[in-house]
Amino acid sequence: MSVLSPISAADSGGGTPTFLSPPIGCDEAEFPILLRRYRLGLALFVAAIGMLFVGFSSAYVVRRGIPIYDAGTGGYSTDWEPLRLPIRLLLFNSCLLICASVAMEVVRRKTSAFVYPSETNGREVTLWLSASLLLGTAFLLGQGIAWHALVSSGRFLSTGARTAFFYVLTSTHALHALLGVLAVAAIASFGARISPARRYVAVDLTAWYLHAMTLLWVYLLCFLLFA
Amino acid sequence: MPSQIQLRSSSETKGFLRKYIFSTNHKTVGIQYFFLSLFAVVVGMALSWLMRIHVAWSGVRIFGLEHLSAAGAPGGVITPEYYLSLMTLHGTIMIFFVLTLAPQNAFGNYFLPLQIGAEETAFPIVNMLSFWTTLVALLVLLATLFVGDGPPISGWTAYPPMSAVGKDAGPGLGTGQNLWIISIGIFCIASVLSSINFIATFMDMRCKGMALMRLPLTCWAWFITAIMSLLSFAVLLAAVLLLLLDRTAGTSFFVPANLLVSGKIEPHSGGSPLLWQHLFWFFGHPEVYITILPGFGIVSHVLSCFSRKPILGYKLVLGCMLAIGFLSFIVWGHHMFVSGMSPFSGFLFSIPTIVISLPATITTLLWLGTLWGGRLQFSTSMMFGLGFVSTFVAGGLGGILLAHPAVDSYLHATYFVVGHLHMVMGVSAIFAIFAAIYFWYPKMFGKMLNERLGLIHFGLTFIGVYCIFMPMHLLGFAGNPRRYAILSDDFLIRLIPLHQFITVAALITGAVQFLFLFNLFWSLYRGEPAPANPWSATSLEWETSSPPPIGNFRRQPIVNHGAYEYGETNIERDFVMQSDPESVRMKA
Repeated sequence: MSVLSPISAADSGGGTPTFLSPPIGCDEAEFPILLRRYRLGLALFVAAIGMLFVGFSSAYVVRRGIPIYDAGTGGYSTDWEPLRLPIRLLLFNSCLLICASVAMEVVRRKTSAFVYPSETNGREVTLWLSASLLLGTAFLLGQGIAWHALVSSGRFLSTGARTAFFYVLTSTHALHALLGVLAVAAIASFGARISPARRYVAVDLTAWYLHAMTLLWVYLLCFLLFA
Repeated sequence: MPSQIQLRSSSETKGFLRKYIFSTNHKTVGIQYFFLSLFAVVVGMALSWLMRIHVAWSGVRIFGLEHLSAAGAPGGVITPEYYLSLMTLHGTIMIFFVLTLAPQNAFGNYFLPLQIGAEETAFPIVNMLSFWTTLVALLVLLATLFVGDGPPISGWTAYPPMSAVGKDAGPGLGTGQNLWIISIGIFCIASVLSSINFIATFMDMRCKGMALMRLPLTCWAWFITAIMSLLSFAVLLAAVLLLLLDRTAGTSFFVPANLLVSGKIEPHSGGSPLLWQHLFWFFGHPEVYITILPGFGIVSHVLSCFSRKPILGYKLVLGCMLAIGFLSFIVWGHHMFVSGMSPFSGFLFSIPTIVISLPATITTLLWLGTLWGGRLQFSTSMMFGLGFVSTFVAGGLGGILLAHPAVDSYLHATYFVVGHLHMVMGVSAIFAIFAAIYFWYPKMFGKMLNERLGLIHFGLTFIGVYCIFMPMHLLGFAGNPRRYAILSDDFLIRLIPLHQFITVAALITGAVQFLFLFNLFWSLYRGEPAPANPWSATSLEWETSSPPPIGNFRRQPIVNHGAYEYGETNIERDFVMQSDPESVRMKA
């Protein structure tokens, strides 16, 4: 479905519809403008999240390289402790999140902005939506299990900088992923009661947000394993 | 081409709370930001008075201060620690809640949609949330005044290890420091939300005909500033989260090993205070330009209008603002020349710091070129615009000296830096804010400010700020350290008369601001009604009534001209408004 119509600089920017008048019943002319605007907002939000993790990642790299002076020997050492991550569990969690993202993409592609799902493929869409919700929730639970495994092995926030960074990076990501899962839950709960256009916007933004969180997680996992 | 859809604002029909308090209307939100900043600047200025009085006459009793903090000011006399607490609060309030908010969030919120011909911002609810989040941040910060050990003593930069090791390190470093961190964290979130709204509004809400090169430079300045805020505040958020963990969860990001504090070895190991400084200044230097770039836009706008000439080199001014925005992200290390950073890194940061003065200088020359040959109108707004150019140059020259690591190593911890940063970042930005207030007040409130009072306000303020901040440069050359609460060494005692002069100037200049406040509120009720376009200006906000109606425009504007078409000679008036028909010149 083609929803984006580029505007030349000489022509102007977009029109005037705003959040003040949500796209309930908006026609085909308004819908692309609104969708483009919300997508732009989401992209900027994701950029800010990206910068948050750029900050954390830079701190990780710098902190790893800081030497500690040993007055006894006159030499330098490091307190960057070895850390055994529950790699299999983390990889399994990654698969869950990727699948949640794929399921949401299917929902996005099967959702129409102009027809109520109940009139066409409502059952199918609900199924994929539920799958995305379950998989997303399972990812968060899986992350919880990973933290529990680390705590059980005596690894706390205060154990060392590397362990602390693991908790900080994964929990901050989980918090952002939780936003996506809550959005999926909200669509599953209230999606049938709103207009097709509004529903499409919600589905589209949630799907792109989940994709972004999945990409971010893949980056974080690689970073934690190899950096 | 998107359809031009006339919409009804929700504020039109809602009750008092939705219309004036939890409003999503960009004009209301802009005014809310304006008054929040106004409140913050009064508090910040009062704090600076207390500090100045204490430095000039140490041991003097300040009447009633003991009620604010019995421990910090026993008998009304400020302790050295409380002096540092006041300094922290002054810096934080002024930089975050005045200089960041007023030029961008107050005037940007109000005028960006108007100047691009939109009826609202892209995300009004996000806009409202951003304001209320900011208010919460300010309240949390002010709460530090009333918690047990007062505001933190670690300064607005909150350098670890002092800020990271807890209350053992000094007054205010317990609950006060935690509240400071939480406040800044909340402020970061608010700034990111606001930036998203600004960027989306700029990119997606322009009316028909508003091509990029027809935009007023104010819009460009707000847009570039929003991008800088989006990228830099997120990094500061990461930094304060890590700092909070160091304080509360026993992590060791910023605290080195074997640190002895108040006779106890801290349980942290292996962290680096330098790491905080890198993260903080990665935000901190763009922040300098976040405060000043909206001023570039405002001053360009005002100087062109009151010179009755097109801005000289529109594209060059724009290019310079973009260059400054980019370069501001790669110069942060010049704040750290004396922090123990590698000298090679110092050299690398020195080069772009010197380079960034080029676009700033080019812009200044273009402003002077705009004035050259113009029919100058010395309104209060114009005077503050000229004052901005003056203070920006005077303060900026000090920056060129500080850009050299060798010079900076002598001057860094002295009053020279205090004078420099206040002149170039504080005073210049405040002058831009004043220029904006005197220019746009008629549009915002529908009344004219008293010009005579305004000119007196400008004259006294202009003389005052030079009397306050230029001698600070001399104090710095004389080696007067900054952050000292009491000047007791022999060579410092001889500098006290100059400190007393600065303090008297600060008190008088501060008192003059009440003249401005009087003008502001008196004109609200007794000022002459403002016409739609009192300055014969060209941009779209002057197209509509003063103040603008809900929805901003009675009919959707269509732009046919650039933002600075002044000095016309072949039509009845000397300017062409952006929405005038293309045939306006032919008709004449």
